[in-house]
Amino acid sequence: VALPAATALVVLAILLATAFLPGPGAALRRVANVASGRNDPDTPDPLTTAPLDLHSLRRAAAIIGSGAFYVRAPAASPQLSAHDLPGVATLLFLPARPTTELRRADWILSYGVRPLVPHGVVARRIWHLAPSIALLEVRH
Amino acid sequence: VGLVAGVLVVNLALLAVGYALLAVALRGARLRVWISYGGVALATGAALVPVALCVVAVAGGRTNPAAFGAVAATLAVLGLALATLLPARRRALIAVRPRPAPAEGRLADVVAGAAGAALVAILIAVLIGGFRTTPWLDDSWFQWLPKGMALDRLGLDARLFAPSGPFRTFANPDYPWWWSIVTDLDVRAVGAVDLRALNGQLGVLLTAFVAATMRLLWGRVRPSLLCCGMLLLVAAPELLRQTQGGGADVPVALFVGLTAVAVFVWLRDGELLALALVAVFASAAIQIKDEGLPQIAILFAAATVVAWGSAGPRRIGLLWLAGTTALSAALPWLVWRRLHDVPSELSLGDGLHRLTAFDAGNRLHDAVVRLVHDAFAPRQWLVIVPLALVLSVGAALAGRRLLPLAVGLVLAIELLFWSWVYWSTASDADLQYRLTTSAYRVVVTPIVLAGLALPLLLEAIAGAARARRPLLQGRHPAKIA
Repeated sequence: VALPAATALVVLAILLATAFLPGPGAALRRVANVASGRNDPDTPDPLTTAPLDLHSLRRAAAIIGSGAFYVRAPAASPQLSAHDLPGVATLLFLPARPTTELRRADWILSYGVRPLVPHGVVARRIWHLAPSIALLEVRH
Repeated sequence: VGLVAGVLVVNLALLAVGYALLAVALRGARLRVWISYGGVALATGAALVPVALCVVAVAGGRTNPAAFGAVAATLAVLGLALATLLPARRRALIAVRPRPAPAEGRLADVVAGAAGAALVAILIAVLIGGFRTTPWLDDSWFQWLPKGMALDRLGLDARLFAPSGPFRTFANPDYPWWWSIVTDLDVRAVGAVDLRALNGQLGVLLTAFVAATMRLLWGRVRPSLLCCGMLLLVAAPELLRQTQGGGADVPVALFVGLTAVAVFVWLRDGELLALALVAVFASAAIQIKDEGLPQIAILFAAATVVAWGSAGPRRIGLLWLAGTTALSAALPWLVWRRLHDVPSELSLGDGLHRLTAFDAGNRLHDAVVRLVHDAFAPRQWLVIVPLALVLSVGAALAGRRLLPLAVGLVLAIELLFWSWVYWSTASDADLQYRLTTSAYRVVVTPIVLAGLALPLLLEAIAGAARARRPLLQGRHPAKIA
């Protein structure tokens, strides 16, 4: 037992030491995502294809209670409007449920669209989270 | 409680449950034996608690921390009760029997130590990196974690989990919820929606997988071969990259792999604990992704064919009983899916229909080429698959038996299975997109199986060489005995 254990300790020490040196430890640093090996974002936020204002979305998440929510985004950007924004909103806004029908929504997130309050909707309250981003509580 | 502490709290609870369930087999063993079963215990707890929570969800409950605590406590009490109340002679049937590692020379000892240290260094880096990296795969935040959060906060709301009405249904509603539940528990314990918890959990699962595999194969494979084989698998850049993807492909591969190891130990040595672990690990594999069930079926079928002669019908029969037990844990979910008209994307009926309609086009060719390319890519997977194939032929020749060729058989069936999946579920128009976005992930399971076979094949070759050595040296085998 002594020989393999001693070897393991020596090799482990060498590997961990080289992890802090330029060159030899690059692979370990890349896996650990530290120092010069860092190649991925170290953030709690989801990595989306379309850039999203996560700060505003998290602010909205803190406001939204239960009920149903609807997201409005520019249709010209399907990645944003059909995937990234609804996905991140669902992640952050639960337990509110995502609906595909505006008239059923208790909450509406208008993201980069004008007007911020859609036609036919009466807003009980509006939070302006950022320029062109607003959260609406709907009066039914 | 913070990112790292939150994930650790969940995993310590799963570890405790696993130890309680293993207590019936570990009772009376030395402390160091208990410690050596840490990876097996964590994998056991991590497999069974979420599987039980899936049943809770179908029954109408939420999978929130209270349910987690109740399920964990129930399983732990059951395990401890079994360990306490089972008569000693019955307990002896399932008790662990640690085997000493086969003696090796000094050079082999040094190799084992060095490879083991490299393994530890990589796993440390994986754990650090997991907690410092947000997942790169959008499935992680688009479907896996939100499903778990919905099960936690709303319960199994059919308006979100089955295509219906005015609500936005989650993507891939046919996928089971094991990974969703695990990741939600992590996020809950962390106290915030922090996606890095998913990668941290993947790092912990990979560590548990390595520790459990080495424990189960310890004494059956020389330490130097075991450490080197595991090192080649864990050092594969693509495995490490996908461990930071946040998806369920790595967990399903790890649990199919652990099932394979337990199947090997059961069929080879007939240890009842290994048979129980087959049921435990297979139940998790089935409930992680749709493809878990067919891949477990492939594994069992291949094991039955190649081990029928050596293991005998009793062990084979009990193996299938364990598999049926694992499948039965998924029955509530399968029934719920059927009742809510959520068909599996992997439909045997659709596949056979297209097969009889000769509706292949070039899809089959394209799928096979892509899968083989991904499985053999040396920059991603080093030489795991070609080495496994070469060693299987070498072991078959060295031992003058066909059994090692099972590795190639399983790999071939796996690749044919995935080719069939792409062929039968993708149209000509979207095949390339689906291959590009998923083929590199679905090959993880067969490659993990190939990686796990490496130490076993090396041991088979070394064992055959040692058995022949006395004859080559002109000495009678009896003198050696």
